Amino acid sequence: MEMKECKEDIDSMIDDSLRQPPDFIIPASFTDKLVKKLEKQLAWKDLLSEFGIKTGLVVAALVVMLICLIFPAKNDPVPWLDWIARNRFIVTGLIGVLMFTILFDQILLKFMFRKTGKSY
Amino acid sequence: MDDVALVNALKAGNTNAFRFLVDKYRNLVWHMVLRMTNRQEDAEDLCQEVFIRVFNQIGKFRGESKLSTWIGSIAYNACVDHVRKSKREVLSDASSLGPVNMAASDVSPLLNNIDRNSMKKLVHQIIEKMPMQYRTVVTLFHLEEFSYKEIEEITGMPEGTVKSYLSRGREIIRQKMTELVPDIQPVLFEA
Repeated sequence: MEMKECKEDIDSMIDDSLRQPPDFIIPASFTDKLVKKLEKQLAWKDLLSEFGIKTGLVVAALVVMLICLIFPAKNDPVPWLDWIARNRFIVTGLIGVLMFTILFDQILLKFMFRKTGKSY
Repeated sequence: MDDVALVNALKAGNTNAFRFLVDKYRNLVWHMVLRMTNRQEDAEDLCQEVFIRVFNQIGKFRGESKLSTWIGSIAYNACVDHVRKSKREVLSDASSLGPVNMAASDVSPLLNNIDRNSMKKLVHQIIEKMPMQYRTVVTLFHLEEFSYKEIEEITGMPEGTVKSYLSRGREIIRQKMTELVPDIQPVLFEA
């Protein structure tokens, strides 16, 4: 009888202990930090997609423009196209600088000076 | 705010709803992460990762299970990934229900007059030394009060395995306690 009571008592104490949370508690600032992190990620995603759309529009406009200029010329050589081909490194470099400037202006600056607390 | 409204707000990308979700379920995730990884220093980062995953995957939640169960399964998978990556622990499967080797020196020296608080510490120390599956199941069942079925949904372990881990886990605790605290019986009679 004593053994049975002892076992029941041990079981009850084990149950109580198992229902107790671990000693380490979650930091009080956890939620705030996490919400800020999420807002940052969402802002970054927004800015990137905005940049993607703008870049896509510019590229699409250039492609349309090129098509409109090249097709009417047919077999006649297009002088400025020749010039571009000869100076392709300079042209590529200029486009690169332009894209970086747009990226910097549209994303990095906005991201760095973004006001916190924006609700999505 | 009930879970349905909360999920809808999260699907709409509302960060205030996210704040509410974190406040509501942070203890669940924190306890799971702490117990599964056994490392407090990794716990905060891992908890953050779990909630970010929850937010990013909320579109996949169809409401077939409770939100807490779904979050629990995301936390479980994140912890398993984390443990695998850190290679600190070999994950055993359900067939490894053999004896758990724990030296008496693993557990801190015990007081002669054991009280409820020391008992809690002792039980928690024994849990820490158990394999991850035991720790997980014991935590989900006793601390978070999930049912067998819900633990099956969270961990993917069959219900029978969950029950085995629970009963074997309890047996280990009981056995270790009586081994480590020989004078536990008279104290218990007084309690």
